[in-house]
Order: sequence, then C-alpha cells, then structure tokens
Amino acid sequence: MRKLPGWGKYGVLAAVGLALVLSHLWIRLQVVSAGYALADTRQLINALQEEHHTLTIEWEAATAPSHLSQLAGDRLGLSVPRPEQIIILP
Amino acid sequence: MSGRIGLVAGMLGVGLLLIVARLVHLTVVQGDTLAQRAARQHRHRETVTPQRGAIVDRNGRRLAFSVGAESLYVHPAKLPTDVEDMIPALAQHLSLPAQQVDAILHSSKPFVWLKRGVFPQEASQIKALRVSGLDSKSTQRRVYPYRTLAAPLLGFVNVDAKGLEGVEKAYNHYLLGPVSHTLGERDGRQRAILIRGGGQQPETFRVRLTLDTTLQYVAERELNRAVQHSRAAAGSVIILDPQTFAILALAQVPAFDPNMPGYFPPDTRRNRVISDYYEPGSTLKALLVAAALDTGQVSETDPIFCEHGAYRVGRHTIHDVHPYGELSVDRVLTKSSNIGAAKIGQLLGKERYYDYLRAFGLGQKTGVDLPGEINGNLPSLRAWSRIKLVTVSFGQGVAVTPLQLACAYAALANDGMLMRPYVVSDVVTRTGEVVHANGPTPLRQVIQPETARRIRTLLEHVVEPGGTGRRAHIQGFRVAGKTGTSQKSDPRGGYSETGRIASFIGMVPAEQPRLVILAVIDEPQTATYGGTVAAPVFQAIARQALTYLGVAGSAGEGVDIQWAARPPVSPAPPSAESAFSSEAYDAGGDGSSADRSEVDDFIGLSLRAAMRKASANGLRVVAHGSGYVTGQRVRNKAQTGEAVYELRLEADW
Repeated sequence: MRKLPGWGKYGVLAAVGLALVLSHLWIRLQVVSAGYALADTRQLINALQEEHHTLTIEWEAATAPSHLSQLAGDRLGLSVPRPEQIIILP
Repeated sequence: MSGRIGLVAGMLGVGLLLIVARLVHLTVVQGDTLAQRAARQHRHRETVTPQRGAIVDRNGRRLAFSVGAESLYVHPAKLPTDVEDMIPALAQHLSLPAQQVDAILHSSKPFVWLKRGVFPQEASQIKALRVSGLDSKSTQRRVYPYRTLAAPLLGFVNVDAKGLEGVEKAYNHYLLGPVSHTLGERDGRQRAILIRGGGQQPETFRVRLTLDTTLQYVAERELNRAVQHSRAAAGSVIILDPQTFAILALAQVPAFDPNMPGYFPPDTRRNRVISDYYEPGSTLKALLVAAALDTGQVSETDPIFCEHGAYRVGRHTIHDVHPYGELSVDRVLTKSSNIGAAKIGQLLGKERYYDYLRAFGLGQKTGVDLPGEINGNLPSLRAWSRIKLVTVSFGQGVAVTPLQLACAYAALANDGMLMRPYVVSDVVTRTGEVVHANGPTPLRQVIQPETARRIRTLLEHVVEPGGTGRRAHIQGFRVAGKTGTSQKSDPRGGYSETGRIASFIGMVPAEQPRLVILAVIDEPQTATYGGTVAAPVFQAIARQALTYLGVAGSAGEGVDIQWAARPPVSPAPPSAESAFSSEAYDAGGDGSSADRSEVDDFIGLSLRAAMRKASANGLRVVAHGSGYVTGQRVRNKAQTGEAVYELRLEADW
C-alpha cells in the first residue's frame, strides 16, 4: 500500500474537518427549517382552533333552547302542548 | 527574497495571532455576556396561559368555555405623530368611546392596555391599521354562549381568567390548567422559529354540572313571565331531584350576562338562591305538621279549633285570612290556617319543633358546592318565647334561603332522608378520567318514611280544588305542594306594609316525586298570594319538565273532570244564555293561559289592576266579588254582540 505524502495527511484531515463543518451547517439549516415549519404549523393549529371556537359558539347559539323555541314558534307555529295533547307511551 | 517572504509570513502570523486573541477574548472573556445579549435579541420565550376548562351541563352542552383572544396595548411614547387621525377607526373597531381611546393614547405611562380579551378578528382589524407602538399579547377570553342562562350559578371570571363567582370560583383550581412556555427564535425579519413548546394548551379539566339546560331555560322563561306579569321586583326558581338532591335548574330574575358582568349592577350578580333569605310563611307549616305527625302529637284527623279567625297569645292576636271554626290537621294545612298551625306548634312544643327544624337543615348551610352560601336565620332556642313558637309555627320570625327550603321539602319527597345538594356532577380530564365526583350524600333521616308519605298525601289536598294551591294542579299527575305568602321586613323595624313574598313549593308526581320545584316571587304588585302568583309558575314549569323528562302520569289522574270541563275562552265564548256558574269560568289553573292572549288574561290580578288593563286594551269588564281575579269568561251581548269579560274575584288565601 502506497503511503500518502506528508501534505496528504493534512489534506485528509482538512477534508474530514470540512465535511464535519458542512454536516453541522446542514443539520443546523435543517433545524432552522424545521423550526419554521413548526412555527407555521403552530400558526395553522391556532387558526384552526380559533375557527373551531367560532363554530362552537355559533353551534351553541343555534341549538340554544331559547333560539329553538323562538324558531319553533315563529317559523313553524309550534307551542307548548296542552295537557290533553300529550300522550306518554308506556 | 526569503527575507521578504519571512516578513510577510511574520505579518500574517501576527495578524492571525491578533485574530485568535480577539476570538479568545470574545468567546472566553466576553462569551457569556455576548451569548446572553444574542439570546435576548433572537430567542423568544413566551408564557402560554392555559386554556381554562369548559363547564358543561349534564348532557354535555357547553355553558362556558374559553377561546383565544388578544390583549392590545400601546407604548404611548412610540406612537406616530398622526395617531390622532386613527382614533375614530380604533374606537369603532374596538367598540370603545373615542374619548377613552384618546385618553389611552395620550397617557403619560410607558405602557397602557388599550383593550383586553379582544376576539382575533377584531384584533386583526386593528393590526391592519399598522400603528407603530401598538402591539398585542395572546390571551384568552371566557365565552358564555347562552348569555344570561344560569348566569348566577355559573358565575364569571376576571380578565386574568380567574373565577370570581359561582362554579367558576368554586372550581377555579380545576378549571385553571398548568402554565406552559414556548421557546423559539426570531430571524432578521422577525419570523418565528419554534424550538420547543406548542401553542395554546388544551383544557386540562372539564366541569360537568347536574344542571339541565332545557329545564333551566323553561324555569327562566316561566319565571320571567311571572315576574313581568306580576310586576315583581325579583324572583327565583329551584328544580331539585329529590332522589339525589342534584340541582337541575336554578333561575333568578333579574339576571346578568356573564360575558360582560361589569355592565350589570352587583345586585344582579348575586346568587339569591343561596345568599338571600326570606321568611318562608306558610310553606313552613308542612315541616311543622311533619314534625307533629312524626312525634305522634297529632294525626291527620285530629280536630283543631281555629278560634273563628282571631287567637290571642299573651299581648298578641293571631289572625287567619278566612275565619274557621274547627278544622282537622289535614284541613289546617289545606286552608293554611295560621291559628291552626300555632296550636299544632304549641302541641309539639318548642324544643321538639326547634330540633326538627334544625334536622331539616334550617339555620345552617346546606353544604352546596357553591360559594357565598349563608346560614339563614333560625333563632336559638333560648330566644323562643311563647309568641315566637306561635309565629315560627306559621313561618314568621324565621328566615330560610330558597335552597334550604327546597332541600327540606326534598327530604319530605325522599321518604324523610335529607341529603347534601350539589351542582357539579364531576370533574373529568380530556381522556374522560374522573378526578372529582359528587353524588347523593345522605345527611340524616329527619322523619320516618311513613310520616313522609303521610305528609305528601296531606300536601296533595292543598293542590286540589278548594286548596290554596289549586293553581299548581297538573292534569294527569298527582301534585303535592304548599303555598306561602310572607311579609318582608322593614329596614326601619317590624314588617313592611306593602312588601310581600309569594311562594309555592311542590313535588311531582306525589306518589314517587321526581321533581321538587320552588318558585319565589319577590314583591309582586298585581297580587300577593303564593297561590295566585307562584303556584302557576310551579305548574307551568312542572308540566313542561315532566313532558321533557318523559315522566308517566299518575294512575287515576289521566282524566281530570274538574279541569277538563272548563270551557274555552277563545275562540268560542259561551253564549249569553250560559249559566253563571263557577264551572263556566276559566280558572287558569292548569296552564290554560295558552288559550288566552296576554291582552285578555286577567287571572291573578287585583280588581284595580284588571280594570286598568281592560281600559288600556279597550275591553268591557264586569266584576263579581272582591279580592283577586280567580276566574274569567266572555259573554256576548245579545243586542250588539259585543264581548264582555266577566271576572270572578275572591278574597284570596
């Protein structure tokens, strides 16, 4: 096996060192990139949560007994049944 | 040549050494300081307020929950010079007075909140204005989607999401979740680079109530109607499950909106059902008779001489509304005779009566899981003079909270067993794990089960025709209950001449009660008697509640001839020739007010109020009797066909 010339050893060491530095940089860039993605995802989650909250409020308001009672009376002409109109099945 | 090379190499070497020395200085000597400075510039640590847990009803309906919000703040010194031009827009978007916005923007303080708990849409409109020196902080806002529904029970929170009243306060330690943090960096364009932590933390615990939203709505609606109809100052209703003592509904008027509690007077935010007391009046007679039956001092048929309406005790004279001679114990309760009750009290004796009242829970907190409960006022035995025993026998000189009275009657309904009332069923985690649970908690057996059944039978007679509580009758069900009318105390001493509290408390179905309902109307103006003002509230709520719960009617109560025989007031009024008998009147006792409009419903009004109403609506009215309207019918004049409302008035109970 041929021996490397004297500067060759330093060249290999430098190459390894460079590779390590580049790897570190690459990993760091990946971390930053993932950080951006996480931040974006968090924003998306927050936005979806807000939308969910808004829809929850609308749902609760739409199904509130007072609202349903008003709709039943105004649109369908319904009212609380008189006793003789109620038949409770056994 | 080599000298020059050596010189250049030397200079480069020195330069390199200087660089290395500087590097060592920066990294070793100043390293920590600079690292901290750098971290301050781009590291970003944010405290995330935990999402406050939701409060849901027994069916999972969300009565209170938290949503993300923004709190806007300004650094007045950093605001642009043309900020004046933006004041109208800011005021409009934030629904604030322009003067208030102007004052905030011109504050001398370095930091001022502009508005806290702003919805994100609102905040984004403000941010779109791009005002330098105006920024926001993520926070949360409590939302009560049903607004005033069950507000005094739910309570409310402050801007820091801390519970101040009601369930929000009592269960604050559960509703508040753990504080968390996010760690991130900001790049040159201030974009976030997340390193650790998440966004808004989901709720940790959820509080589930025993309350039923539909029953609560029915209770509030009927109470509101009654308070408006009688022009009363206030009112409250409790619906209790006597088998568990779970509170199914707790309504009061006037109410407040917990979304904006600051806009309502403090008086409306108080939970009157546990923090106000009143003299129960005749509703206490049921407890007296229960005690007397339980000790064997009296039986249902024992005669009590009621002194023909006036009974002298020492220097005092006790009166009945209607004079009676001899009444059985049963009839004393049905007719609500004060003198009869006084004599039963004397037979029972003050020691035993006091012990029974204590055992029923009077004069002490019920232990309900709500803040602000008071003891009521049951005078100590030492203060019980001869006249005190007499007055307490018919419900004067003793004060109870509505919840205390409801619990005492629930004990009668529960075969004599008193339990601790509760409003929170359990506290669960997101995964459904129960971390805290309430359930039926027996306290003591107050009276024997057989006595409880006997007193329920007596209370059924109160609701039958001829009883003071006949307007609480529900077709198809056996109802047991008691009316109460009491004078309010005068701040100057003694009793008020005009202030009255009308109440009715009942249980249904009487044979195996599913519901105990108490209705209290404070200072009604049109009529003052519990049987006139409060019993119809009980009846309207109970009828709808039983239908909603699918409770089967009582055996033998399917057809009620007395009430079914009532002729309709509208649209087919009886002819002019119809007999002028009491059966021809619409007594309004079983919720038939649905047949009448608000305009032509005179039931429960005094003569003066009825005449005023008729005059205002252009109706012709003929009155028979005196007191309050207990029946009405319409006749058409033979010649002109004009409708005439005939009102039957009675000096009520």
